[in-house]
Amino acid sequence: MSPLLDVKGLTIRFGGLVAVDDLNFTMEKGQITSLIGPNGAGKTTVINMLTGFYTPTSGTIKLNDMDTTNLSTDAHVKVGFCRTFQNIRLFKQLTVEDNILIGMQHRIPYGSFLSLFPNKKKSECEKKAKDEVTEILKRVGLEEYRYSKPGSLPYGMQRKLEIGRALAAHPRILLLDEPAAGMNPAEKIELSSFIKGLLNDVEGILLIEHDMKVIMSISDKIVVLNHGKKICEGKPSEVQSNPEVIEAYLGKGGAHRDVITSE
Amino acid sequence: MKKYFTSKNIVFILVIISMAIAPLFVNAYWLRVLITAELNMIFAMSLNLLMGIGGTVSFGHAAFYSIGAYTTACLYYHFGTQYSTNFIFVIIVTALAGLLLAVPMSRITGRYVTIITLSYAEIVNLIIKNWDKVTQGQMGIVGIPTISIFGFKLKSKIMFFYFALLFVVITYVMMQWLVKSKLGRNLQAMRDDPIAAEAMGIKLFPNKVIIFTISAIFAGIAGSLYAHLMTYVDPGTFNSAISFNCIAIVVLGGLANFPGTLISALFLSILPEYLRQFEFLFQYRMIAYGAVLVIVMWLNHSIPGEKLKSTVVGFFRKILKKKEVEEVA
Repeated sequence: MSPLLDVKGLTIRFGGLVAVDDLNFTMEKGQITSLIGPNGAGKTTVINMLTGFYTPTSGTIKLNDMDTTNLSTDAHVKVGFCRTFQNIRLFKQLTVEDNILIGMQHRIPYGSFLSLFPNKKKSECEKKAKDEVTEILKRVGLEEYRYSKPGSLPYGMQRKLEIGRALAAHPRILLLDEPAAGMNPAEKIELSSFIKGLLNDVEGILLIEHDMKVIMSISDKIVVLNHGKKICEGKPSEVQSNPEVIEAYLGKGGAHRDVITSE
Repeated sequence: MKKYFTSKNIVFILVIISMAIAPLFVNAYWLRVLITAELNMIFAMSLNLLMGIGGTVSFGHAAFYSIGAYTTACLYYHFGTQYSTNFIFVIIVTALAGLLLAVPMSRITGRYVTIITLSYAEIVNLIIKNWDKVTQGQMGIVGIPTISIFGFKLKSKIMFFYFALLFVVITYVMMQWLVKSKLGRNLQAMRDDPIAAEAMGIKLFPNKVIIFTISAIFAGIAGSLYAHLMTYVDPGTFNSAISFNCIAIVVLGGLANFPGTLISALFLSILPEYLRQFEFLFQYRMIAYGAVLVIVMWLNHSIPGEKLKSTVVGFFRKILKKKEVEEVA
């Protein structure tokens, strides 16, 4: 059986800079795959390519044998990729409810023309969508904030809203770009179990994260990038003991290797 | 029923009711001012759709206003057609004009938007000035009759007033439908964060085209009413001042705040006329727009803005505190 996501020879060049170089990895169904590496390793670039923001210079991306390499951004959402952002990007002047509705907009089946006047299809679709918003808000624990603006939410809640917005798109693969950034240890632990629970909603999760505790506790597989190249791939325990990974993170010698293993 | 009686809609209903009974109290001169105010309302609401919902500041919205006015005028002049026929053509022509501007607009951001919209209005004005065969050039088109719909003529200015008021209501209601729909939501998402909107599968280009087209149509409708009101169009009327006044109205009323736009259109249409009676202020009356714009920008983009509240509240707190200090002393 083919893997959920199959990335082969993925390369992107910006002028003379090779940001991602010949990257190969696969994602299996029902697993959390993590992408780690030092700053500037090309992790976010990979997500940008997987969601159609960048077109790879060469290489292929296959979602269950369907080639999605050259699809546009909106087509990526339709086939089942949805992402969150490293720096939270919510729609600040819309309510929490509207933010979720934007997430599911490609599944609301009425077009721009029907938007212009009241009609049966529009009201039915809106009602159905709003019922679904209730479910999603319950899922991410934001029911009480339904009609507030995202700016008034605590930081952790904003992260969850962004994830909720991505879930509303019913993606097959959820791509999370540093969801734990800026959270305190207690919030991180809570977030880890939350992300693990998301596997009930989506087929696979691709996680970018710097926090080793989060990564090691929930990943099924880790891909390590450095300078755009994959240096290692495997289970958390295998990656932890890989000398190349330790070198990339801590420099040669690895005197403080316990930082990466125990943290 | 509950959702129809939001505070915004109540403001809207109050404005419309007070407009509807206004002709009982005013003379012919002020009735004309009020009709101009109504045209400004439609025109400013169309710009507010573009600025407040679409997030694009257009400095050349007068282009669509003049295209609407000239389409009506030219059709009457060359073919003698009546309003009901012209209306359809106004919609088609302004929609095409909006479409034309939307194509370059969807590729640029920031200060380039200003330049492109400004130049678009200039280009339209230049075409009107120089396309003598169709637009009569600098001479303008004279003698446009009052509106007649399927043979029914709006003989008096009061009838014209209520006809324009009807259009204000239609424009407002349609804007509300649009804003509260999927299209309106997607447009607001694009305004807040185009990158995140794209990541949620919203196609930016078609949505930009749609909003420019709709906005242009409403501006064109206001323009065509203007041609019938003045019975006369010439290229000098449609200068950039119209665009800037319209921006002042929108900014004063609040971005994406349609009832606010109605009130500020009324206010900024009446104010310069009111200032006419003071001889000293007469020559400076047009400064009113600029002054309002500066004050409003300082007060955080709209009259009901947060900064205004905090400024006023802070002012009173300071006074109270002083008193307390004095009492203690």
